[in-house]
Amino acid sequence: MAPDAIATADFHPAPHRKRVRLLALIFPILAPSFAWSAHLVVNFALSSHACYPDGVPLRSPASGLGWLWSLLLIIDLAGIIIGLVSALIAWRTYRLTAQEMAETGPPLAEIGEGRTRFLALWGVLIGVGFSAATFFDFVGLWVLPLC
Amino acid sequence: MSTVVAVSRRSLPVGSVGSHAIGWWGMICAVLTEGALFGYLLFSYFYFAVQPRQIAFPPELPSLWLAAPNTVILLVSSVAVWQAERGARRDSWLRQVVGLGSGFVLGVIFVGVQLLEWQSRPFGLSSNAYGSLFFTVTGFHMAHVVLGLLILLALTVWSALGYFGPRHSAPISIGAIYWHFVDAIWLAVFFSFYITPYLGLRHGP
Amino acid sequence: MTTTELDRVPELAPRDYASPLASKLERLWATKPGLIGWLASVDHKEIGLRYIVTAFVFLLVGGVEALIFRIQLAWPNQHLLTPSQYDQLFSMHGATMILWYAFPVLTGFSVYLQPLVLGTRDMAMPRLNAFTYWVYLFSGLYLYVGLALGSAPNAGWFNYVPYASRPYNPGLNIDFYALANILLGVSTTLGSLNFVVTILHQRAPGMSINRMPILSWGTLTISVGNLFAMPSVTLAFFLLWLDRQFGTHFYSPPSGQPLLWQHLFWMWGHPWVYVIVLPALSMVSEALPVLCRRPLVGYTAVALATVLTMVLGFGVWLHHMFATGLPNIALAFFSAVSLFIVIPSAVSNFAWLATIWTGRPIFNTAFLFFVGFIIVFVIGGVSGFMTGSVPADWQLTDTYFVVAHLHYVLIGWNLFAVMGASYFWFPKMFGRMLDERLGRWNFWLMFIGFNVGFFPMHITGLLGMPRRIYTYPDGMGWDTLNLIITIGSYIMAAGMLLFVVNVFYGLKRGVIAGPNPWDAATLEWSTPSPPPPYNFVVIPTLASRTPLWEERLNEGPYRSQLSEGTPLDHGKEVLGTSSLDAQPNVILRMPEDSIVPLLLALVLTLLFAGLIVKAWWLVIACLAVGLALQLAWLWPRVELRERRP
Repeated sequence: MAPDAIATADFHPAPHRKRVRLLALIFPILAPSFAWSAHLVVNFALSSHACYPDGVPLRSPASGLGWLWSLLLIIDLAGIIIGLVSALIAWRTYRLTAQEMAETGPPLAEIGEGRTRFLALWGVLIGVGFSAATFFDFVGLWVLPLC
Repeated sequence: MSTVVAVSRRSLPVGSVGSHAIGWWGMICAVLTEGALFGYLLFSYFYFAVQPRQIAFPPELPSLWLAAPNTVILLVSSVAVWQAERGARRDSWLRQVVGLGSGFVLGVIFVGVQLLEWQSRPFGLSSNAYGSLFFTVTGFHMAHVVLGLLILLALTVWSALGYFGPRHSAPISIGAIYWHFVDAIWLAVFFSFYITPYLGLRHGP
Repeated sequence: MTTTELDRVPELAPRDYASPLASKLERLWATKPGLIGWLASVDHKEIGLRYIVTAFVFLLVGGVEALIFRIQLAWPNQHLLTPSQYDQLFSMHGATMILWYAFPVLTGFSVYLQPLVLGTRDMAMPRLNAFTYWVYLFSGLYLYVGLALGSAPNAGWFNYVPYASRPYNPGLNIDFYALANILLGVSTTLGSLNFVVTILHQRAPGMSINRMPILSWGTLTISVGNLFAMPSVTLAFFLLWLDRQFGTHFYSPPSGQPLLWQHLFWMWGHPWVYVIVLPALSMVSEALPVLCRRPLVGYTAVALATVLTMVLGFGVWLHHMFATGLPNIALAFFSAVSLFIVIPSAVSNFAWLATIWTGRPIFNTAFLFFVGFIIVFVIGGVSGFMTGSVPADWQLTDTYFVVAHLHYVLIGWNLFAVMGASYFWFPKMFGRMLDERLGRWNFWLMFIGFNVGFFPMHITGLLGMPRRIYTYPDGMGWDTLNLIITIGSYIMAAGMLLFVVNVFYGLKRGVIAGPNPWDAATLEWSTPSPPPPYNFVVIPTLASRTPLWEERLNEGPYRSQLSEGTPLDHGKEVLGTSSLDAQPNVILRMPEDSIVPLLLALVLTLLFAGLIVKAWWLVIACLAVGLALQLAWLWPRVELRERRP
């Protein structure tokens, strides 16, 4: 049980933290979730307002709102792009820090060691995940009637 | 070969220090949840505002005569409180007390003007949906202002007693976060109730 | 120790729970003897246990309510309860279980365990912690005072307007529910705030965010979620109360909007579903691997899945409103998220299965509960997937299928996990084991009773039985199934009773547990059982997520330092650390025990009592006294280094 050595320097759980900027870690974690939330709420509000302006639901958007479908499409695309760009940024960060604490053995997904690469991997998964979630709505626009 | 990690042997500050203080963190969380509360309040307002068969919204545009200058008063009070915070960091008793005290006074003026504004309205809380929204949302904000004023009053007294200085400025910073938050929320409320009608969001029957 | 000490290099001391240092810490941290001492305690372990016990009492009360109306429903055309009594009873059952049991019991476990698994000595705000418990207790009593006065809520736990509006519901029933909920909301919000600060600011040195136990991920996630979700329901109830008592026009036609209630309620309500299951899921993720003798499979993914479930949970509220006539495409948006959210849930599920598959499981009671949990987790998940699809929901909504689904989710995902966790952490809390023989009977009765009692509800729902009817005619094809359901519910209740017996038996006669009976990996098991008031005699420093298994797993060159650390004995002190990497950045001073939290909670409750009877003098008096108490609470103190000496 006796340890072979006592670390003298301050031990740090994220030795590669200085290779990347904090923003490059945090942005891919936060931006896709905000983009997804915003797209959901805005799409919901716009489509509801256009299709149900009064006591009776309409079969197509209220007059003068024909451009609505395109707007929803653009919002969805923006969400998807934000997600993918975040994933790319995070992937780049991950590449820079992939070997952080690699001496601990098991792969990152298992053990989570190396705080910088851990957050970078999260960024990749979050970016891809929210893009996929937004993509469902994108598909919905093509296959479902708007109202 | 294994290495036991060592405990950090740096000198650490003791107690409530700036953004390391528990209260600072607590206030940030409180501001987040209060911000969400106003998010839901304004959601309710806009939910009503976009309803097509809305019989309740007043026909005339809201008057800015009282509300606009009042907004400026509240913003200036934020600057005063910010000055007090700097005063505490620089160990200036006078700047602390004057900053906090004038923040308090400006806040009281805001409340007074807001009461006039309430009185000038031809409708009441239970007249119609717009009245309910207007008085509930601005009422919630007023309640937060009053709480902020009590905080500022306590801080002014404590400052006057010489409690705070460069290493003991956390309580002022924590109170200041709340006061800035109350101001920021007023901008959102002001924008929703006073500006959006001018931008074309519905008003009138 | 000087009162002006503003900076200090932390000393080092060996870990010895029998040293003079330990007795000094004991004196500093222990709850004072006597009734006043007990009432003034701010020890998180005391408060955590109070939470758990109170929540279990509410569970039993809510269970008895269900047992009463299950007799009514066992046969057609029963009139044991009048329609009005039935309405109150099922509303109280729902409210008690969802609001006063399911979340508070998890809060209890979190309050007890979080400081221990994080390697600190108390919650960040100990007095606030006591305050939130008292407010929780009083809010529950407030609700039950309503029941005693014959004015219990009677519009279901989600309390839809216009039925809950005054013209249709003129008594005080809904007002009691609204005000009790606001009171509870105060407690929940402040409690969540306390968790966020504790977890982000007080982890042991070296416990970087990627080394946090899943248990802490669960609590952190739902606490942040609560900060954003709770105001919605508190506001919804407040506006309802204004509508009912002050004639405002939020929900009541012609100019009010009844659907606004549903929006505000479910914007909180669906995140809340995840709030009351995610910490339970994270308890399984924490304890199940220990019983499988290996670390959790896919830690990184499970932690992320926990967070993502919560985030996505904010975007599914509309699936409770599919049948309200909203436009198709809007339904499609929310249906898509409702189906998509299965993915993160499945990540956790497959991680547990893989952990069992690749581990060497110990088949004890806790393990049985966790496996039972996984089985009902899948069934509840699948029925949720079904109702997440719009056409299926239009057919199934407001039938017993939904009742079956929500009980599989709430009992399965919450109660089974809580039972397993109770068997798992009871030895830590009391130093004695629960009985295994009784435990097995406990599990099998509950598991069989639960499935017999709730699975047939899927079928009665598909057969068209509407929920919330107080009785039903015969010849609808529901009779036998309902009898089976009632029998199942009584079997389950018998199992629950055995648990209570087991707890009392365990407290008296249980086998002495020792510090680490399960040979577990995390910090709470490095303390004696039950832990001393100060938790850790010296603060540990971490080099991995599994500090007690490092030699065995032999993952990499770094070892945690548990046998030596800083004693922080110059007063009630804990270490403040940075949020991402848990590097020490401050020595925090903790407040002493205080009676003020209890007094303030009492005054707040009295204020709410004043609101319901509209005794404005009482409200104003309570406001004044409450503000004075808060001033005393917050007055800057030299000992806490909040002001100059």
